[in-house]
Amino acid sequence: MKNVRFDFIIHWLWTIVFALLVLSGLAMVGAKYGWILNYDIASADYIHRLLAAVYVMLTFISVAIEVIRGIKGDDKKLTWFIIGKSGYQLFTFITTLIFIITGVIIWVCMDSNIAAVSFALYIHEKLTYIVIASVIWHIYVKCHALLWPKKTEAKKNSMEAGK
Amino acid sequence: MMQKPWFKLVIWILATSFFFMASSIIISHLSPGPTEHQSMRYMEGMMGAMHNSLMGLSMTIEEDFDLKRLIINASAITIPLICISIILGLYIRLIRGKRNAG
Amino acid sequence: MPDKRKLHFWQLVFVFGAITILALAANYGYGSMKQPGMMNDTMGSMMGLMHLKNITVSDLVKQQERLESIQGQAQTQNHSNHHATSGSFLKTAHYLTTAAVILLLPFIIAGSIFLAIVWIK
Ligand code: HEM
Ligand code: HEM
Repeated sequence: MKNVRFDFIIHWLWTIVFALLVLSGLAMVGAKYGWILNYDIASADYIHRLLAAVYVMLTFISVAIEVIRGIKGDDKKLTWFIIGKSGYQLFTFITTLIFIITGVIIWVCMDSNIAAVSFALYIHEKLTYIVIASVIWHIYVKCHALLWPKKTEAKKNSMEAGK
Repeated sequence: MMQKPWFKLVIWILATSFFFMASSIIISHLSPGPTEHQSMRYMEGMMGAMHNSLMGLSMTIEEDFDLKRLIINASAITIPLICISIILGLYIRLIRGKRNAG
Repeated sequence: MPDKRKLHFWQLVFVFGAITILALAANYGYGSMKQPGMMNDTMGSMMGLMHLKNITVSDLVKQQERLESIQGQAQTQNHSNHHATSGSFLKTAHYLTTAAVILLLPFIIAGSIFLAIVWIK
Protein backbone atom coordinates (compact mmCIF):
# COMPACT_ATOMS: atom_id res chain seq x y z
CA MET A 1 0.00 0.00 0.00
CA LYS A 2 2.98 2.28 0.47
CA ASN A 3 3.44 3.48 -3.07
CA VAL A 4 -0.16 3.74 -4.15
CA ARG A 5 -0.47 7.07 -5.86
CA PHE A 6 -2.88 9.69 -4.67
CA ASP A 7 -4.40 10.26 -8.11
CA PHE A 8 -5.17 6.53 -8.17
CA ILE A 9 -6.93 6.80 -4.81
CA ILE A 10 -8.90 9.84 -5.94
CA HIS A 11 -9.99 8.09 -9.12
CA TRP A 12 -11.55 5.19 -7.23
CA LEU A 13 -12.99 7.27 -4.41
CA TRP A 14 -14.48 9.46 -7.11
CA THR A 15 -15.91 6.48 -8.95
CA ILE A 16 -17.61 5.16 -5.81
CA VAL A 17 -19.06 8.55 -4.87
CA PHE A 18 -20.15 9.15 -8.43
CA ALA A 19 -21.89 5.78 -8.68
CA LEU A 20 -23.87 6.39 -5.50
CA LEU A 21 -24.74 9.93 -6.58
CA VAL A 22 -26.14 8.66 -9.85
CA LEU A 23 -28.10 5.87 -8.19
CA SER A 24 -29.68 8.14 -5.60
CA GLY A 25 -30.23 10.89 -8.16
CA LEU A 26 -31.96 8.58 -10.62
CA ALA A 27 -34.43 7.37 -8.04
CA MET A 28 -35.66 10.96 -7.70
CA VAL A 29 -36.13 11.71 -11.39
CA GLY A 30 -39.75 10.70 -11.66
CA ALA A 31 -42.47 8.19 -11.08
CA LYS A 32 -41.05 5.91 -13.75
CA TYR A 33 -37.68 5.86 -12.00
CA GLY A 34 -38.65 5.45 -8.36
CA TRP A 35 -38.35 1.66 -8.39
CA ILE A 36 -34.57 1.97 -8.46
CA LEU A 37 -34.56 2.67 -4.73
CA ASN A 38 -38.00 1.28 -3.99
CA TYR A 39 -39.56 4.76 -3.89
CA ASP A 40 -37.65 5.66 -0.76
CA ILE A 41 -37.07 9.22 -1.89
CA ALA A 42 -36.25 10.40 1.61
CA SER A 43 -33.18 8.14 1.76
CA ALA A 44 -32.26 8.94 -1.82
CA ASP A 45 -32.37 12.63 -1.02
CA TYR A 46 -30.33 12.14 2.13
CA ILE A 47 -27.66 10.06 0.37
CA HIS A 48 -27.56 12.41 -2.59
CA ARG A 49 -27.00 15.50 -0.50
CA LEU A 50 -24.45 13.95 1.85
CA LEU A 51 -22.46 12.55 -1.06
CA ALA A 52 -22.80 15.76 -3.03
CA ALA A 53 -20.88 17.43 -0.21
CA VAL A 54 -18.21 14.73 -0.41
CA TYR A 55 -18.14 15.14 -4.18
CA VAL A 56 -17.69 18.89 -3.87
CA MET A 57 -14.83 18.35 -1.43
CA LEU A 58 -13.13 15.86 -3.75
CA THR A 59 -13.49 18.35 -6.57
CA PHE A 60 -12.09 21.11 -4.41
CA ILE A 61 -9.07 18.99 -3.50
CA SER A 62 -8.49 18.06 -7.13
CA VAL A 63 -8.78 21.65 -8.32
CA ALA A 64 -6.46 22.81 -5.55
CA ILE A 65 -3.87 20.21 -6.54
CA GLU A 66 -4.10 21.27 -10.18
CA VAL A 67 -3.79 24.94 -9.24
CA ILE A 68 -0.66 24.22 -7.23
CA ARG A 69 0.73 22.23 -10.13
CA GLY A 70 -0.14 25.10 -12.43
CA ILE A 71 1.69 27.60 -10.26
CA LYS A 72 4.71 25.35 -10.06
CA GLY A 73 4.61 24.83 -13.82
CA ASP A 74 4.37 21.07 -13.41
CA ASP A 75 3.11 19.84 -16.78
CA LYS A 76 3.35 16.11 -16.19
CA LYS A 77 0.10 14.29 -16.96
CA LEU A 78 -1.33 12.40 -14.00
CA THR A 79 -2.67 9.26 -15.63
CA TRP A 80 -5.33 8.58 -13.05
CA PHE A 81 -6.34 12.10 -12.26
CA ILE A 82 -9.98 13.09 -12.65
CA ILE A 83 -9.46 16.56 -14.02
CA GLY A 84 -6.95 17.76 -16.56
CA LYS A 85 -6.51 19.83 -19.64
CA SER A 86 -7.43 17.37 -22.36
CA GLY A 87 -9.45 14.36 -23.35
CA TYR A 88 -11.67 12.60 -20.87
CA GLN A 89 -10.08 14.49 -18.01
CA LEU A 90 -11.28 17.77 -19.50
CA PHE A 91 -14.72 16.32 -20.16
CA THR A 92 -15.02 15.13 -16.57
CA PHE A 93 -13.85 18.49 -15.29
CA ILE A 94 -16.45 20.43 -17.26
CA THR A 95 -19.33 18.09 -16.49
CA THR A 96 -18.37 18.13 -12.82
CA LEU A 97 -18.48 21.90 -12.74
CA ILE A 98 -21.92 21.89 -14.35
CA PHE A 99 -23.16 19.25 -11.89
CA ILE A 100 -21.95 21.26 -8.94
CA ILE A 101 -23.23 24.61 -10.14
CA THR A 102 -26.68 23.33 -11.09
CA GLY A 103 -26.73 21.25 -7.91
CA VAL A 104 -26.05 24.27 -5.74
CA ILE A 105 -28.73 26.24 -7.58
CA ILE A 106 -31.24 23.48 -6.84
CA TRP A 107 -30.07 23.31 -3.26
CA VAL A 108 -30.11 27.00 -2.44
CA CYS A 109 -33.00 28.20 -4.56
CA MET A 110 -35.49 25.47 -3.65
CA ASP A 111 -36.87 27.82 -1.04
CA SER A 112 -37.00 30.94 -3.16
CA ASN A 113 -36.68 30.69 -6.93
CA ILE A 114 -38.60 27.78 -8.39
CA ALA A 115 -38.03 28.75 -12.01
CA ALA A 116 -34.27 28.56 -11.53
CA VAL A 117 -34.67 25.22 -9.78
CA SER A 118 -36.70 23.71 -12.61
CA PHE A 119 -34.16 24.84 -15.15
CA ALA A 120 -31.22 23.56 -13.11
CA LEU A 121 -32.97 20.24 -12.48
CA TYR A 122 -33.48 19.83 -16.22
CA ILE A 123 -29.78 20.29 -16.95
CA HIS A 124 -28.74 18.21 -13.94
CA GLU A 125 -30.90 15.32 -15.11
CA LYS A 126 -30.02 15.38 -18.82
CA LEU A 127 -26.34 15.71 -17.98
CA THR A 128 -26.61 12.59 -15.86
CA TYR A 129 -27.67 10.58 -18.92
CA ILE A 130 -24.83 11.98 -21.00
CA VAL A 131 -22.23 11.31 -18.34
CA ILE A 132 -23.45 7.76 -17.76
CA ALA A 133 -23.06 7.08 -21.47
CA SER A 134 -19.60 8.55 -21.34
CA VAL A 135 -18.64 6.39 -18.36
CA ILE A 136 -19.73 3.27 -20.27
CA TRP A 137 -17.52 4.42 -23.11
CA HIS A 138 -14.72 5.05 -20.58
CA ILE A 139 -15.10 1.50 -19.27
CA TYR A 140 -14.93 0.27 -22.84
CA VAL A 141 -11.68 2.14 -23.46
CA LYS A 142 -10.12 1.05 -20.18
CA CYS A 143 -11.67 -2.36 -19.89
CA HIS A 144 -8.33 -4.11 -19.63
CA ALA A 145 -8.81 -3.10 -15.99
CA LEU A 146 -11.51 -5.77 -15.85
CA LEU A 147 -9.17 -8.59 -16.78
CA TRP A 148 -8.60 -11.03 -13.99
CA PRO A 149 -4.93 -11.10 -12.91
CA LYS A 150 -4.50 -14.82 -13.57
CA LYS A 151 -5.01 -14.33 -17.29
CA THR A 152 -1.78 -14.33 -19.26
CA GLU A 153 -2.29 -10.95 -20.87
CA ALA A 154 -3.33 -9.25 -17.69
CA LYS A 155 0.16 -8.64 -16.32
CA LYS A 156 1.39 -7.07 -19.49
CA ASN A 157 -1.55 -4.81 -20.11
CA SER A 158 -2.56 -3.83 -16.64
CA MET A 159 -1.53 -0.41 -15.64
CA GLU A 160 1.94 0.11 -14.37
CA ALA A 161 0.65 3.49 -13.21
CA GLY A 162 -1.47 2.30 -10.30
CA LYS A 163 0.86 -0.39 -8.94
CA MET B 1 -2.58 -2.71 -6.32
CA MET B 2 -4.51 -3.22 -9.54
CA GLN B 3 -3.67 -6.91 -9.40
CA LYS B 4 -5.05 -7.68 -5.94
CA PRO B 5 -8.10 -9.94 -6.25
CA TRP B 6 -10.19 -7.90 -3.82
CA PHE B 7 -9.51 -4.82 -5.85
CA LYS B 8 -10.45 -6.54 -9.08
CA LEU B 9 -13.68 -7.47 -7.38
CA VAL B 10 -14.31 -3.83 -6.46
CA ILE B 11 -13.68 -2.75 -10.04
CA TRP B 12 -16.03 -5.41 -11.32
CA ILE B 13 -18.74 -4.39 -8.91
CA LEU B 14 -18.36 -0.76 -9.91
CA ALA B 15 -18.37 -1.53 -13.62
CA THR B 16 -21.46 -3.69 -13.17
CA SER B 17 -23.17 -0.95 -11.20
CA PHE B 18 -22.57 1.50 -14.02
CA PHE B 19 -24.09 -0.94 -16.45
CA PHE B 20 -27.00 -1.33 -14.09
CA MET B 21 -27.51 2.44 -14.06
CA ALA B 22 -27.39 2.66 -17.84
CA SER B 23 -29.94 -0.10 -18.30
CA SER B 24 -32.17 1.25 -15.56
CA ILE B 25 -32.24 4.59 -17.35
CA ILE B 26 -33.20 2.90 -20.60
CA ILE B 27 -35.78 0.71 -18.91
CA SER B 28 -37.34 3.59 -17.02
CA HIS B 29 -37.32 5.91 -19.96
CA LEU B 30 -38.88 3.51 -22.44
CA SER B 31 -41.36 1.93 -20.09
CA PRO B 32 -45.02 2.76 -20.51
CA GLY B 33 -46.14 5.73 -18.44
CA PRO B 34 -46.34 5.28 -14.70
CA THR B 35 -49.33 3.53 -13.27
CA GLU B 36 -51.38 5.25 -10.66
CA HIS B 37 -49.79 3.07 -8.04
CA GLN B 38 -46.29 4.11 -9.11
CA SER B 39 -47.22 7.77 -9.14
CA MET B 40 -48.76 7.52 -5.71
CA ARG B 41 -45.68 5.87 -4.27
CA TYR B 42 -43.48 8.48 -5.88
CA MET B 43 -45.58 11.28 -4.40
CA GLU B 44 -45.48 9.60 -1.01
CA GLY B 45 -41.72 9.25 -1.27
CA MET B 46 -41.42 12.93 -2.10
CA MET B 47 -43.58 13.88 0.84
CA GLY B 48 -41.35 11.68 2.99
CA ALA B 49 -38.31 13.53 1.71
CA MET B 50 -39.96 16.84 2.52
CA HIS B 51 -40.76 15.77 6.03
CA ASN B 52 -37.80 13.80 7.23
CA SER B 53 -34.84 14.32 4.99
CA LEU B 54 -32.54 17.11 3.95
CA MET B 55 -34.86 18.29 1.20
CA GLY B 56 -37.39 19.58 3.69
CA LEU B 57 -34.67 21.33 5.65
CA SER B 58 -33.34 23.03 2.55
CA MET B 59 -36.76 24.59 2.13
CA THR B 60 -36.08 26.53 5.31
CA ILE B 61 -32.93 28.26 4.09
CA GLU B 62 -34.75 31.54 3.52
CA GLU B 63 -35.76 31.75 7.16
CA ASP B 64 -32.37 30.67 8.47
CA PHE B 65 -30.28 33.71 9.24
CA ASP B 66 -27.00 31.86 9.76
CA LEU B 67 -27.15 30.07 6.44
CA LYS B 68 -28.49 33.16 4.73
CA ARG B 69 -25.50 35.10 5.98
CA LEU B 70 -23.19 32.32 4.83
CA ILE B 71 -24.67 32.42 1.36
CA ILE B 72 -24.27 36.18 1.20
CA ASN B 73 -20.67 35.95 2.38
CA ALA B 74 -19.88 33.20 -0.09
CA SER B 75 -21.36 35.22 -2.94
CA ALA B 76 -19.43 38.25 -1.76
CA ILE B 77 -16.05 36.52 -1.90
CA THR B 78 -16.72 34.95 -5.31
CA ILE B 79 -15.99 38.04 -7.42
CA PRO B 80 -12.76 39.00 -5.61
CA LEU B 81 -11.58 35.39 -5.79
CA ILE B 82 -12.26 35.33 -9.52
CA CYS B 83 -10.29 38.56 -9.94
CA ILE B 84 -7.38 37.12 -7.96
CA SER B 85 -7.37 33.97 -10.03
CA ILE B 86 -7.47 35.92 -13.30
CA ILE B 87 -4.56 38.10 -12.22
CA LEU B 88 -2.59 35.12 -10.96
CA GLY B 89 -3.29 33.18 -14.14
CA LEU B 90 -2.21 36.03 -16.41
CA TYR B 91 0.86 36.61 -14.26
CA ILE B 92 1.92 33.00 -14.54
CA ARG B 93 1.36 33.01 -18.29
CA LEU B 94 3.46 36.13 -18.52
CA ILE B 95 6.35 34.59 -16.60
CA ARG B 96 6.17 31.41 -18.61
CA GLY B 97 5.97 33.29 -21.89
CA LYS B 98 9.11 35.20 -20.96
CA ARG B 99 10.89 32.03 -19.93
CA ASN B 100 10.00 30.31 -23.17
CA ALA B 101 11.04 33.28 -25.25
CA GLY B 102 14.36 33.72 -23.45
CA MET C 1 -11.23 -9.13 -35.40
CA PRO C 2 -12.62 -9.56 -31.90
CA ASP C 3 -10.31 -8.10 -29.32
CA LYS C 4 -9.65 -10.46 -26.43
CA ARG C 5 -9.17 -7.60 -24.01
CA LYS C 6 -12.64 -6.19 -24.69
CA LEU C 7 -14.28 -9.54 -23.99
CA HIS C 8 -15.48 -8.60 -20.53
CA PHE C 9 -16.96 -5.38 -21.81
CA TRP C 10 -19.03 -7.21 -24.40
CA GLN C 11 -20.05 -9.73 -21.76
CA LEU C 12 -21.45 -6.91 -19.66
CA VAL C 13 -23.12 -5.30 -22.66
CA PHE C 14 -24.72 -8.59 -23.59
CA VAL C 15 -25.99 -9.44 -20.10
CA PHE C 16 -27.38 -5.99 -19.44
CA GLY C 17 -28.78 -5.65 -22.93
CA ALA C 18 -30.70 -8.86 -22.36
CA ILE C 19 -31.90 -7.67 -18.95
CA THR C 20 -33.05 -4.38 -20.44
CA ILE C 21 -34.99 -5.97 -23.25
CA LEU C 22 -36.59 -8.55 -20.96
CA ALA C 23 -37.57 -5.90 -18.44
CA LEU C 24 -39.07 -3.70 -21.12
CA ALA C 25 -40.96 -6.61 -22.59
CA ALA C 26 -42.29 -7.52 -19.16
CA ASN C 27 -43.33 -3.92 -18.51
CA TYR C 28 -45.18 -3.66 -21.79
CA GLY C 29 -46.87 -6.97 -21.18
CA TYR C 30 -47.99 -5.74 -17.81
CA GLY C 31 -49.06 -2.37 -19.18
CA SER C 32 -51.14 -3.81 -21.98
CA MET C 33 -52.81 -6.20 -19.57
CA LYS C 34 -53.78 -3.27 -17.41
CA GLN C 35 -54.96 -1.19 -20.32
CA PRO C 36 -58.57 -2.46 -20.50
CA GLY C 37 -58.94 -2.02 -16.77
CA MET C 38 -57.86 1.56 -17.04
CA MET C 39 -60.23 2.34 -19.84
CA ASN C 40 -63.09 1.02 -17.74
CA ASP C 41 -62.15 3.40 -15.00
CA THR C 42 -64.00 6.56 -14.21
CA MET C 43 -63.21 9.72 -16.09
CA GLY C 44 -61.84 11.35 -12.98
CA SER C 45 -59.18 8.76 -12.32
CA MET C 46 -58.16 8.79 -15.95
CA MET C 47 -57.66 12.53 -15.78
CA GLY C 48 -55.65 12.05 -12.64
CA LEU C 49 -53.55 9.48 -14.42
CA MET C 50 -52.90 11.83 -17.28
CA HIS C 51 -51.80 14.55 -14.94
CA LEU C 52 -49.44 12.31 -13.07
CA LYS C 53 -47.81 11.09 -16.24
CA ASN C 54 -44.21 12.17 -16.70
CA ILE C 55 -44.25 14.06 -13.46
CA THR C 56 -40.82 15.25 -12.30
CA VAL C 57 -39.34 16.68 -9.16
CA SER C 58 -39.81 20.23 -10.32
CA ASP C 59 -43.53 19.73 -10.75
CA LEU C 60 -43.71 18.29 -7.28
CA VAL C 61 -41.70 21.08 -5.81
CA LYS C 62 -44.07 23.56 -7.36
CA GLN C 63 -47.02 21.68 -5.95
CA GLN C 64 -45.41 21.43 -2.56
CA GLU C 65 -44.70 25.15 -2.60
CA ARG C 66 -48.33 25.86 -3.26
CA LEU C 67 -49.41 23.48 -0.52
CA GLU C 68 -46.99 24.94 1.96
CA SER C 69 -47.95 28.50 1.18
CA ILE C 70 -51.57 27.63 1.76
CA GLN C 71 -50.67 25.85 4.95
CA GLY C 72 -48.29 28.57 5.95
CA GLN C 73 -50.96 31.22 5.81
CA ALA C 74 -53.13 29.21 8.10
CA GLN C 75 -50.56 28.07 10.63
CA THR C 76 -47.24 29.84 10.43
CA GLN C 77 -46.44 28.84 13.98
CA ASN C 78 -46.97 25.15 13.43
CA HIS C 79 -44.88 25.24 10.30
CA SER C 80 -41.62 26.24 11.92
CA ASN C 81 -42.24 23.97 14.87
CA HIS C 82 -42.61 21.06 12.55
CA HIS C 83 -39.20 21.54 11.00
CA ALA C 84 -37.46 22.05 14.30
CA THR C 85 -38.61 18.68 15.53
CA SER C 86 -37.35 16.71 12.54
CA GLY C 87 -34.29 15.49 14.40
CA SER C 88 -31.11 17.26 15.41
CA PHE C 89 -28.78 14.88 13.61
CA LEU C 90 -30.51 15.70 10.38
CA LYS C 91 -30.23 19.37 11.23
CA THR C 92 -26.48 19.02 11.80
CA ALA C 93 -26.10 17.19 8.52
CA HIS C 94 -28.07 19.93 6.80
CA TYR C 95 -25.83 22.65 8.22
CA LEU C 96 -22.56 20.84 7.53
CA THR C 97 -23.36 19.82 3.96
CA THR C 98 -24.91 23.14 3.00
CA ALA C 99 -22.05 25.09 4.51
CA ALA C 100 -19.44 22.88 2.85
CA VAL C 101 -21.06 23.09 -0.55
CA ILE C 102 -21.66 26.82 -0.44
CA LEU C 103 -18.24 27.71 0.96
CA LEU C 104 -16.24 25.55 -1.44
CA LEU C 105 -18.07 26.62 -4.60
CA PRO C 106 -16.41 30.08 -4.92
CA PHE C 107 -13.00 28.50 -4.55
CA ILE C 108 -13.77 25.83 -7.11
CA ILE C 109 -15.01 28.44 -9.59
CA ALA C 110 -12.00 30.66 -9.03
CA GLY C 111 -9.62 27.70 -9.30
CA SER C 112 -11.27 26.61 -12.54
CA ILE C 113 -10.92 30.05 -14.04
CA PHE C 114 -7.26 30.06 -13.08
CA LEU C 115 -6.79 26.66 -14.70
CA ALA C 116 -8.63 27.77 -17.83
CA ILE C 117 -6.31 30.75 -18.19
CA VAL C 118 -3.18 28.73 -17.59
CA TRP C 119 -4.24 25.80 -19.79
CA ILE C 120 -5.51 27.56 -22.89
CA LYS C 121 -2.84 27.49 -25.50
C1 HEM D 1 -21.97 13.16 -10.38
C2 HEM D 1 -22.73 13.96 -9.96
C3 HEM D 1 -24.22 14.01 -9.87
C4 HEM D 1 -25.20 13.28 -10.50
C5 HEM D 1 -25.03 12.17 -11.53
C6 HEM D 1 -26.47 13.77 -10.03
C7 HEM D 1 -27.72 13.32 -10.43
C8 HEM D 1 -28.92 13.82 -10.00
C9 HEM D 1 -30.21 13.46 -10.50
C10 HEM D 1 -30.46 12.44 -11.63
C11 HEM D 1 -31.15 14.16 -9.82
C12 HEM D 1 -32.66 14.11 -10.02
C13 HEM D 1 -33.00 15.22 -10.99
C14 HEM D 1 -34.44 15.28 -11.35
O1 HEM D 1 -35.28 14.82 -10.58
O2 HEM D 1 -34.75 15.83 -12.43
C15 HEM D 1 -30.47 14.99 -8.86
C16 HEM D 1 -31.07 15.86 -7.97
C17 HEM D 1 -30.38 16.74 -7.14
N1 HEM D 1 -29.02 16.89 -7.07
FE1 HEM D 1 -27.66 15.84 -8.09
N2 HEM D 1 -26.23 14.77 -9.12
C18 HEM D 1 -24.86 14.94 -9.00
C19 HEM D 1 -24.20 15.85 -8.24
C20 HEM D 1 -24.79 16.77 -7.41
C21 HEM D 1 -24.10 17.78 -6.67
C22 HEM D 1 -22.58 17.96 -6.68
C23 HEM D 1 -25.04 18.49 -5.98
C24 HEM D 1 -24.91 19.66 -5.05
C25 HEM D 1 -23.96 20.42 -4.90
C26 HEM D 1 -26.32 17.93 -6.29
C27 HEM D 1 -27.52 18.37 -5.77
C28 HEM D 1 -28.74 17.88 -6.13
C29 HEM D 1 -29.97 18.36 -5.57
C30 HEM D 1 -30.09 19.44 -4.49
C31 HEM D 1 -31.01 17.65 -6.20
C32 HEM D 1 -32.48 17.88 -5.96
C33 HEM D 1 -33.22 16.74 -5.46
C34 HEM D 1 -33.03 16.39 -4.03
O3 HEM D 1 -32.08 16.78 -3.36
O4 HEM D 1 -33.87 15.66 -3.54
N3 HEM D 1 -26.14 16.87 -7.16
N4 HEM D 1 -29.11 14.77 -9.01
C1 HEM E 1 -15.79 0.96 -13.19
C2 HEM E 1 -15.58 2.09 -13.67
C3 HEM E 1 -14.23 2.61 -14.12
C4 HEM E 1 -13.12 1.93 -14.60
C5 HEM E 1 -12.95 0.44 -14.82
C6 HEM E 1 -12.10 2.92 -14.86
C7 HEM E 1 -10.83 2.66 -15.33
C8 HEM E 1 -9.85 3.60 -15.52
C9 HEM E 1 -8.49 3.31 -15.82
C10 HEM E 1 -7.91 1.91 -15.96
C11 HEM E 1 -7.83 4.49 -15.93
C12 HEM E 1 -6.34 4.62 -16.10
C13 HEM E 1 -5.88 5.37 -17.25
C14 HEM E 1 -4.52 4.92 -17.68
O1 HEM E 1 -3.76 4.37 -16.87
O2 HEM E 1 -4.22 5.15 -18.85
C15 HEM E 1 -8.79 5.55 -15.76
C16 HEM E 1 -8.54 6.91 -15.86
C17 HEM E 1 -9.49 7.90 -15.75
N1 HEM E 1 -10.79 7.74 -15.28
FE1 HEM E 1 -11.68 5.97 -14.93
N2 HEM E 1 -12.61 4.17 -14.57
C18 HEM E 1 -13.90 4.02 -14.11
C19 HEM E 1 -14.77 5.01 -13.72
C20 HEM E 1 -14.56 6.37 -13.91
C21 HEM E 1 -15.51 7.41 -13.64
C22 HEM E 1 -16.89 7.20 -13.05
C23 HEM E 1 -14.93 8.59 -13.99
C24 HEM E 1 -15.48 10.00 -13.94
C25 HEM E 1 -16.68 10.35 -14.13
C26 HEM E 1 -13.60 8.30 -14.48
C27 HEM E 1 -12.71 9.23 -14.96
C28 HEM E 1 -11.43 8.96 -15.34
C29 HEM E 1 -10.52 9.94 -15.88
C30 HEM E 1 -10.87 11.42 -16.13
C31 HEM E 1 -9.31 9.28 -16.12
C32 HEM E 1 -8.06 9.90 -16.70
C33 HEM E 1 -8.27 10.17 -18.16
C34 HEM E 1 -7.38 9.40 -19.06
O3 HEM E 1 -6.21 9.21 -18.72
O4 HEM E 1 -7.87 8.97 -20.11
N3 HEM E 1 -13.41 6.94 -14.41
N4 HEM E 1 -10.02 4.98 -15.50
